[in-house]
Amino acid sequence: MDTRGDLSPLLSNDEDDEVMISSIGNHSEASCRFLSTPNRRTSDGLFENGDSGIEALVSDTDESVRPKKTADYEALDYDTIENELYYAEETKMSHRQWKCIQIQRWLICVLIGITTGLVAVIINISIIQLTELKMKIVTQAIEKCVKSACLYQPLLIWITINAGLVMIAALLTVFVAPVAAGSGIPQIKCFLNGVKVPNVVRLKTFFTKVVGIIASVSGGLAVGKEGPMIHAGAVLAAGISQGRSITFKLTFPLFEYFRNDREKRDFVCAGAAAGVAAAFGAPVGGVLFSLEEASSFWNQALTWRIFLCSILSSYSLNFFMSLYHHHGGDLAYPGLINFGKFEGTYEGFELPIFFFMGVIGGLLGALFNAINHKITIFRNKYVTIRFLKVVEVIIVSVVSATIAFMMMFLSAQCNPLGQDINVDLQFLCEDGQYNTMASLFFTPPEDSVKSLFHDPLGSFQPLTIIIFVLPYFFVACWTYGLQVPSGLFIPALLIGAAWGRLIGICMNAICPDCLWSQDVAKYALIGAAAQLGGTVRMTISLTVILIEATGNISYSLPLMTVLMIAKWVGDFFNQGIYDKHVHLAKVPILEWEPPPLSINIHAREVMGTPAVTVREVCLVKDICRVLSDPHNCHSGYPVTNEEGKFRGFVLRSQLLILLKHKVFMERSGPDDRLELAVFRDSYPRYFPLSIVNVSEDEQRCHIDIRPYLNPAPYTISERASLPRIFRLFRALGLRHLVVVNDNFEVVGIVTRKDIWKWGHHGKS
Amino acid sequence: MIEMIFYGYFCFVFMQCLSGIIIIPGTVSGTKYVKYKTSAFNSSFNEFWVEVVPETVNVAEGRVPKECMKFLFAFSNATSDFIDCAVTNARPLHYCQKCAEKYVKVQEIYKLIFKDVSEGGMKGCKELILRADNIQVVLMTYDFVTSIWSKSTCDNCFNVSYKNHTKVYNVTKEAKLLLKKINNTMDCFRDFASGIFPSNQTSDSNSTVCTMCINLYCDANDLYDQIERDKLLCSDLIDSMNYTRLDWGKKYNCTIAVIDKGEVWIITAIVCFLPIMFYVGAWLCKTKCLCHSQVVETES
Repeated sequence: MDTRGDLSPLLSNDEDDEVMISSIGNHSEASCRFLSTPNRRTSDGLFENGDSGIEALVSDTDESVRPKKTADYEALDYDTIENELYYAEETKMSHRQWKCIQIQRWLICVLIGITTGLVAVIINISIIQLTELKMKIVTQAIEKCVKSACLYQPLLIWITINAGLVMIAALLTVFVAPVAAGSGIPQIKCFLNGVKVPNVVRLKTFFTKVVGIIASVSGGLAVGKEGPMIHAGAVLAAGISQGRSITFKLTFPLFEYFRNDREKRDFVCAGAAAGVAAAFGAPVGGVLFSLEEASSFWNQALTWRIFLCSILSSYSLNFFMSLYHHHGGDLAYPGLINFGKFEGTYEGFELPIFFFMGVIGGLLGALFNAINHKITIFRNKYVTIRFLKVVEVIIVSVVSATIAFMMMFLSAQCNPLGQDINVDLQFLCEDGQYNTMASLFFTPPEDSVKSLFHDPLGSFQPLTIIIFVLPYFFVACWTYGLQVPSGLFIPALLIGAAWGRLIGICMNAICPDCLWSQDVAKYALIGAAAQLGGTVRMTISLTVILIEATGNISYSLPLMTVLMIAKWVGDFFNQGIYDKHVHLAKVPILEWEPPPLSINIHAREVMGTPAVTVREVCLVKDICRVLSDPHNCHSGYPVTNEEGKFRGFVLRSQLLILLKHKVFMERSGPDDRLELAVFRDSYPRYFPLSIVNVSEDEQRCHIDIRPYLNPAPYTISERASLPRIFRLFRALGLRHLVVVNDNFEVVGIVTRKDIWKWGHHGKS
Repeated sequence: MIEMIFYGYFCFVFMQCLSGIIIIPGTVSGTKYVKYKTSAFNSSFNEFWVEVVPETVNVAEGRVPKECMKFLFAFSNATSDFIDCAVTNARPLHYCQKCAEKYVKVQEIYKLIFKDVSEGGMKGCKELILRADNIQVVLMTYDFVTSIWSKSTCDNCFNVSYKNHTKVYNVTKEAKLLLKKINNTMDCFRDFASGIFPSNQTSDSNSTVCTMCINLYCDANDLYDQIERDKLLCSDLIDSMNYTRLDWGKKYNCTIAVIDKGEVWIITAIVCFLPIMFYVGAWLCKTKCLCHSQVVETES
């Protein structure tokens, strides 16, 4: 017990940990607030609770002020409950039914792929149209005002439109689904790791994410749409695979078999892959992203299904976008390649230059993460009221718009018309010239990246790029973590492409007549890759995504090495930005490896003790008492027989369902059992204890838990080491691990959070 | 035994191929000769058919029938005419107007080759001309010509009609009008430079090229903007207008831009002040609230 006592102060002494995180959201589902108090912590499910009866007891703490604790996160049940009901159902299932389920899996993947593609189409087209509309209005105002001295008008118009659009996103995010803020990749990562981030795969989150990202990108914030698309894909996957919508009270008699965490996890994985595929037009990159970044448990059989899903998503997007670009059905239309097609090549002696760029990328990425980390901590500490959060977002959008306008206003860089350009805003230039800065700001951010990649040498002067990239870096830093859906890929790529192009221009200045220095596109690409790699620290999936999004494989070696170098250099200073945000949110996520130097820590030090147990056959009164005890609001209980020997494991949700359906021994025949379907039906939102009415009479009845309990859960001896326990959790996605002694008596229980704590404060 | 026969057969084929390769230069020189001749006579399409293949060329040597060679020669002439025209009119860019006819000719001949109908209903020329070798020069050249045409969006400046199954390109009303206006403006610039003033304007000392040509320039500019909105621009128009504008702006410094920095700077200052106020406010509020709650706690 003393170890336990030491741990909690440790937790609260750490400044970072004190901070509440809002990017994961202020949810109202989890409610076991007493659990963070150390001495009350007696046994198992620690941070795991359903919508329990304790809700009522906790009453009215202000959601937005209360610091978010690890205790607010539940774990997912990735372990199948192999109870008697399950056995019965499996025995009944014919070979044909089994095949049918397999086919359904494929069918769901097809559906996920196509719908994700469609959603991406909606997002893309809306952003393009809204940006065009906005820019048309502003351009007209500028053209009018340049001649009649009223330039403040277009500035005000621009600020108003931006603030208005972004306010929609902020209001939705803050008041409807706070979990939709940010890119969504950290949240999906947590979900796939086995942590139930509240609301993360809900319909309202999806809605907020889609509308929010359209509004915030077209509202001119320094954000991209890629991360949110991945989240949207994951939510779609979770929704489709369940065959019902709880929000709309719609339940189709479809896909019932998949209504559990384990099956859902696989589909969410596929959805994330489909999201990447749609966001970057990178189907293989999507699969690898799921493998590298998102999922913690990878099933080989799943790979091919996920690949199908990504391919479908990417090509359904391409198909509809080709229609939109009036090249209907031409799936090879080059305009569909996300960052434009690259066709150049490079010389061997350029590799050191690229490596150097990798180092710069790593440094800048680390700087970006560090600044963002500080800002996030400040934000979490001081900007806690909902109203203030919305105001903050609006302020950022107003500042972004003003900076953009002032950059165009002050930049005296004009280029003659005539070359192939997208935007030809004249602004203060002479007739026949256009403002080069405007071609970066008057388009959706992807097109700015494309211009920086592909516009010919000389279309951006070095000074323009410097004036552009410096403020943009800080604005992007400031923007990520706001209460709006915001992707990080595009801002990072934009920053990297800008300084990469700058290096390209330098090379060209050093050797103006060399053939190899004529092509600045490759430097811009490598810069973009380095910056992104230094920020998010992904390697293989990012390489493949960039290869696919540029339609060029000849840069694979420089891309790969640069990403690797950027990652190494960045890791030397701090974590990747997603891990940082996961860490700040205090999500009990399990890393790849057990905590270092922990071999001497044993189960009896890690476990929670004494475990609250229930009997195989016990009084309703006892169960009610256990369930309603605010000190023990755990999500699962070991079951013992009269002698105290361990017999199995039962989940809180199961007990609640048993109580609700009044499966009392005195009231029913010996063979009356609940169907497994009843349990599936109440997934994933279990009801609180408060709605279960148990009369005085019923309190004296007995419940036989035996048919429902999991008779053979994973257990471990109290002498097992922490790395061993960790590996069990990591590989099997466990939620609880019962610790037994030599006499098969329950001595304690290990949960995910226990391990997480050791991982974070292990040897200190 | 059978192997021997096969071997002999392959040798035979190989020798034939070799002889084919050697013969090709002869035919090429023939083409050249014809090209100069036809362009010198400026022959029409029909004459061209008759004259195109000189009797001196021994077509049998290339193992391509005479009917097909006619196609090839015709295509060669048409493309070289077009490219000649396009390059000569590349600067200042006017090839859309000047080379439309030649472009039509290339297309017509290609269509004939592609339809594979030649004199006397003979078939098979298409195969021989387009796909018989590993370079496929004809296809490449055709792609090159069409890519020049489509990249310049030349079609936008023409009304295409059909006459006797032949495409006829007529320059659109708008394009004609705009070019006229641009020419007038440029004339105005030139006149000013050479000291000639329009009759209705007196040469007072204040008048500059800007005041003199502004009406013409604005007229042209407005029409250009309108055509741009209708998406009917071709590269001829874009280029002419760009250079007129450049002259107007760069050469004569006529652009009017009234910069009013006052209000813009005030707005910027206010906006920059916003985040500072916000964060300091948030910080103060929080620390104050905390102090307040602590006071309450100690009191209670």
